Amino acid sequence: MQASNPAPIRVLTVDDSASMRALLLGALTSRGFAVEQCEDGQEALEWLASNEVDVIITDINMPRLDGFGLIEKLRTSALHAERPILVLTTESSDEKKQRARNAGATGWIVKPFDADKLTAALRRVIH
Amino acid sequence: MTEDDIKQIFFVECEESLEAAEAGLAACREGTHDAETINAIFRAVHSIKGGAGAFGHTALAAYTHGFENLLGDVREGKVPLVPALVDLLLLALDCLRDHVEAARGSGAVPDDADLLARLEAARAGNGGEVAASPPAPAPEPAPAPAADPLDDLDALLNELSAPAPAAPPEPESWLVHIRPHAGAMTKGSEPLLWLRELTDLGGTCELCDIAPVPTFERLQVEEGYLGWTFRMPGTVARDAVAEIFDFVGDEVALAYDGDPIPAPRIAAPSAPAPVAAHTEAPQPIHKPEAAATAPTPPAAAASAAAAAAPAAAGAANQSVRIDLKKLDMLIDGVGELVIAQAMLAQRLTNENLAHIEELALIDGLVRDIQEHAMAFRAQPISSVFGRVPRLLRELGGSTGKHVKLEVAGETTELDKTVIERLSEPMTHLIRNAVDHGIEPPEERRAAGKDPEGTLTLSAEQKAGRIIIRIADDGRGIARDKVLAKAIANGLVAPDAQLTDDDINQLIFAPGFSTAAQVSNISGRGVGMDVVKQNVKELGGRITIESVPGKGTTFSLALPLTLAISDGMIVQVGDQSLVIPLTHVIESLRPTPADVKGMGTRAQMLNARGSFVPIVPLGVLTGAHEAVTNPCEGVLVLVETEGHGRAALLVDAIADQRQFVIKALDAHYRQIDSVAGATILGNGKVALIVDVDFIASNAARNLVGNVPLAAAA
Repeated sequence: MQASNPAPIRVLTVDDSASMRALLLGALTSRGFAVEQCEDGQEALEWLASNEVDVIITDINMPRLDGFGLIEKLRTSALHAERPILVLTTESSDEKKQRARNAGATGWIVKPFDADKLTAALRRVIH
Repeated sequence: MTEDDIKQIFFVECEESLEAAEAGLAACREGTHDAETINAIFRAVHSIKGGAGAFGHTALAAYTHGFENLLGDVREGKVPLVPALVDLLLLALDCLRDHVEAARGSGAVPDDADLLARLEAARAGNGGEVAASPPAPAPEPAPAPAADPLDDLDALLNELSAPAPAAPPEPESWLVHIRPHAGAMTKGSEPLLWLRELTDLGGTCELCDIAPVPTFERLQVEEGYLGWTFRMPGTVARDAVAEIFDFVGDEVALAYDGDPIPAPRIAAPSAPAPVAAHTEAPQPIHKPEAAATAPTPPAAAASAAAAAAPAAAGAANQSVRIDLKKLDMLIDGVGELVIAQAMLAQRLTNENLAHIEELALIDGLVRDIQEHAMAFRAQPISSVFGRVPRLLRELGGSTGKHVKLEVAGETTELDKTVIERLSEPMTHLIRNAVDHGIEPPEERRAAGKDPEGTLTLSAEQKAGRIIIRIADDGRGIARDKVLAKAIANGLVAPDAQLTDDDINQLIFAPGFSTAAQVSNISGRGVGMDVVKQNVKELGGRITIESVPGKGTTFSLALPLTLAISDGMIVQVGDQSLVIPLTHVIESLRPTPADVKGMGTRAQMLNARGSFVPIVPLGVLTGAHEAVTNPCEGVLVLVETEGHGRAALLVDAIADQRQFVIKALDAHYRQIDSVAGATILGNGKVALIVDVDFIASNAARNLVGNVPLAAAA
């Protein structure tokens, strides 16, 4: 795989579960990513309106604005229309995958995640 | 943050989720079946499942998976939410709670096979009843624990972390043809990365089809013109390749050995004029211009708005987690601010400046800040009330008494510490109400009552206190039996004249129990005396109203917070002392006839027929020139739980105000008979009297007939 860049890759994780956020934060920062976190789609949308990241990891089931909604909205925005977005969720049905795909998600990872594999998945989608 | 810290967060989350699910199901039971309620229940269970998987609680994960499947079907309207199903979901929730407890390490993993079978049966549409013939011994109806949904990730990414092993016998290599369409590019995918992965798997590029590439001026940057043919080693499974493209799905045309090679979906270079190609490109699904100029809203916007709509209800639960210590520091600081403000006000008053505008402004601000800071620690009492339905279900199961629950004022907020310590006495009172208060259905029917009993819980804020009522519509307290029992136990004299209220209060006497047979519900070795003790420790009071045949109401009056208390400021010689108001019954100026000597130094107050030891606070504190003759000062009659009453002799009552308790041991050391210190409005430090200690000391001295110890 490619050598890691000098500037850390910036990841935004969106999850309403504090424990999941803590896990992601630990896993990703220890592997050299710069991590930002939001608690739901709405917060992420607001944060992303004025911030840049390299890749977004989002949960599906969240209050206020769920993952599907977040992806759909981001795909209509100028800034994030082509941002890689990974879905990290416990859902694993094909129907849900299809929905995420239709919404414009780049990839799908099932919880619980293995940190190394998550890292690999991130590197797979980062341009 | 350690793994353990994160686990703690997870369990806090579980609590919140369980409460949310319980509240949602309660609403369903009342007939609320809207999408947001059901969604909230689903989300609660789903969130537990996510964490359970992440933290390796496989039993919990497997169970939540089964639970969630059913909820998912309910959410999608595949399974109607009939009352029987709500009951089943409530049962499932109880079991989930046990699972969470087990995961936390307190309690055994519940046996959920039967319940999971019923959940699965409910999905099949027969209301949660397992088919009459029990499931054949062989097939386990429950989903295989943890295995199925959770391994998906590994399936998806295995090949990445473990590249193809160099297999010994060289199976035949095979071909894969790839042709990405525009959609893949507009969603953030990057063909280069797939190709790189194919190479990592050992694949080699055999052919790159560049034929569809148009002339430069017609080139659409988002469109996929290129197609590749890769030769993969035979050791690589097709699935491994399929997984790379699994998610990209329809956006990439894939074909394996022998399949027809996918044709370019875009128009070939020879196709219509550039303008037409731009606006009417024959792709039904993906219009190139949608991607070329970014902010064009696609049809998706409508459904995005729909997804955002049911957000309002969830927003109420938004919270920030703060370390309790930090919060306490803030509240402590606010307490100091209140005191400093009071000092300033007093100073300015002395300077005849009390009316200045700025002081009023600061006064208002400080009060606002204090109120808000206290609200940080405040939690709605619904977290205690929310556990009651389950308690009633369990009690219903063991006693056969089905009890309706009516709740009012569950949004009333009180201090977190109070909430935590309230749950035990409340549980006891509720068990008691169902066990002793509410009659069995037959008896109720005979008395012309609804065979189903009603328990009413209410909370309200009143005059700076929280009043919690636990009322049943049962048979009421049988005062004749209580009195007979108390006399038999020697708690009261046979000829004592007691009011109804006095008799009611007897049930709080230590070791008192009237149940003919001690049941396994109320008789847990914890008496009502402990309930009263708990409430008292919270600075609260408990009162009983009981009407025979109509029911009993226990009212708990609790302080809003433990950080600030009401106190009576008394003058003792040259010192000011604070007596916590919760203990004070009355204050009086005794006549010489009310005071009786006992032994050489002890004195007793005759308070309406009962004798109470007089404790001169001046002697205890060593104050100069304190009043020593009770008839020259004021007696403050205080009551404690456990140690009876005492009459504290002080010179005068100076004021009544709120105070912030400062522990002495943080600055000096713990002193008996002093509960702490506080700073008065004039800036002086005043000690807070430990009424419990003084009363118990006074009682002990009387029993042993030892003179009161001079100066502590």
